[in-house]
Amino acid sequence: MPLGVVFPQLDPAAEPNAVAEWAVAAEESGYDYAVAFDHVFGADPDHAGVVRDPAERTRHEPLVLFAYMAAATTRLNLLTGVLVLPPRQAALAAKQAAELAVLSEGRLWLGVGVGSQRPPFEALGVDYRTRGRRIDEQLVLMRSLWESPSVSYEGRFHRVSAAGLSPRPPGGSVPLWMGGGAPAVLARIARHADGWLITPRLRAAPDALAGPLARLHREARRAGRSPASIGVETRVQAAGRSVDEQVASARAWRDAGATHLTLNTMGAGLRGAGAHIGAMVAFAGRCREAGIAG
Amino acid sequence: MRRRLVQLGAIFPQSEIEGDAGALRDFARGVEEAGYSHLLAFDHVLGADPDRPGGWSGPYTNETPFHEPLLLFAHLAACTERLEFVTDVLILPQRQTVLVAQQAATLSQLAGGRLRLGVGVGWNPVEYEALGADFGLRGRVMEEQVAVLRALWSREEVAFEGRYHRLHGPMRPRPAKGTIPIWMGGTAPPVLARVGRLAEGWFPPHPDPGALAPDLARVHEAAEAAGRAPGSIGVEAHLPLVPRERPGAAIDYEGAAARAHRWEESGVSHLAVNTMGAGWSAPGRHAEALRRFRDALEGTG
Repeated sequence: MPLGVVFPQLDPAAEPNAVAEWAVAAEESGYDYAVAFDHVFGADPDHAGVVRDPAERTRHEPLVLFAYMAAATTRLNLLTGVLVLPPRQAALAAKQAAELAVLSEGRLWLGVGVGSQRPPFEALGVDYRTRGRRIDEQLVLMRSLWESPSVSYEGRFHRVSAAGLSPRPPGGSVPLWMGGGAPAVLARIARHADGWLITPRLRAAPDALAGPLARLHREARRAGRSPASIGVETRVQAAGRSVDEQVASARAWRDAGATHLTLNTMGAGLRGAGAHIGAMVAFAGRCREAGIAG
Repeated sequence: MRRRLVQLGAIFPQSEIEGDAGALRDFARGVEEAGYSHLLAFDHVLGADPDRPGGWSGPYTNETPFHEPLLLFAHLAACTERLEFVTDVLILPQRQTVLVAQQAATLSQLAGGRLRLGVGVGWNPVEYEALGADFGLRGRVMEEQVAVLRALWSREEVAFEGRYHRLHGPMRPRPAKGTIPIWMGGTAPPVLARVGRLAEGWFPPHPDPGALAPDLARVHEAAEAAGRAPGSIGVEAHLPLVPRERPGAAIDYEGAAARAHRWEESGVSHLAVNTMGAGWSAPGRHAEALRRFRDALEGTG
């Protein structure tokens, strides 16, 4: 199964050379994709074990980060995990995703979510309470802008009058993944998305995945799609686990129905790109030995 | 007066060139190898379909390629070492200030500080509408945006209460060199005053040095009124190798070098060389023209 790895942007020592070195190492050690988080402003990450250091120079904006990584790599796919879409302008998000798809020659997997914290919405001047309705419109508008050279759209939150993007993404589309876990989100994924980034709440134990996964598959069949065509991504935390335990966690997730496994090396006390690279190389190697990854 | 040597930049010929991302990277490396100090790119998020009620007379359409400059520059930063990246100009009021601040700061980090942010209000209401921004307020919004950008880049925690922004909190990352120079484009009287008051540099759109002097004087007056040293404000003029009024004409390199020297004598600090207009789709043709111009300039210096 495809393996991914989270760019350790919340740990110190993410200097430019280290960013390129890390991305090249991810690609060379057999990872299919890299994941980057989105923290626009003022928000705490929803990840355990992260030390907040006021002097840290990290938290790269993920689209700009990926544009840089795309020049250093040739095969590594680039998954935002997730881009909080509702506070962003849909047309600019579509433009930047298209640009990244062009620069990476189709290696962007755009993971989006509605967000769960108010500060980014306040900072970007968008009403937090409208986020669900807003993302529904955004996705329709963004897909139109990717697909068609000229778009007219009138919704509750957006108005476009005969305008379009150039360049548009290769093939006129960008693979779309979505985060979350609420029933409305699963229905949205079943209708619109190429994959599901399971919500942090469900990442605690593989057993808890069964119910929501069955619902996703039911909704997919209702929407006329094959459940197997929808990816299911989860995380394997390196923090507090030996490599053996990481591989056992990976196996449990595979058996529970996950299709994409992402190693997160943050919060494990690793300092410097070299330490994170060592952890990712070890995990990928052992997953191959265990027959979990090809 | 001591003679300054202008910094020579190349305009990214994005509305003419074709090719994949590899061709774009080769072009950037070629510009760096040819001795140019910086690469400039224009910005348009969307273009208007000319087949619309009332027709269309703008210079660009929905089919004209424009790379998103912040992502493009991040990509090119990974394969260059010295080249500075310059937006010429980013249409700031149609974007969300905090996202621009974070994306520009990320780019600055990844490029080791090789970023100059040129900003302007633009001219296309179709873009503003699609981005949900108010075209009528663009000048006033941009004044406040510049203050917000500088606050977000320079302070650990920002508390900003303005007319168009209310912010409380920290933003990460911070730019590589502590801040990012902000330059402005445009020539309307309020723009000239704004440049003098607020900007680190100016992109005059003037076609020749003779017309520059009165407007530059206004910028300097506004700078003095704001207690700033006029000489600290950079000026980057545009030098099209193909005359705008004669698209497709053969390039007169000696003539272009002579024009460059006149700009230099008029006090500009930077020159942006534009190779578009000949209709070359191959990036290599543009890079070759940049090399020949550089040679002509040095040969006549």
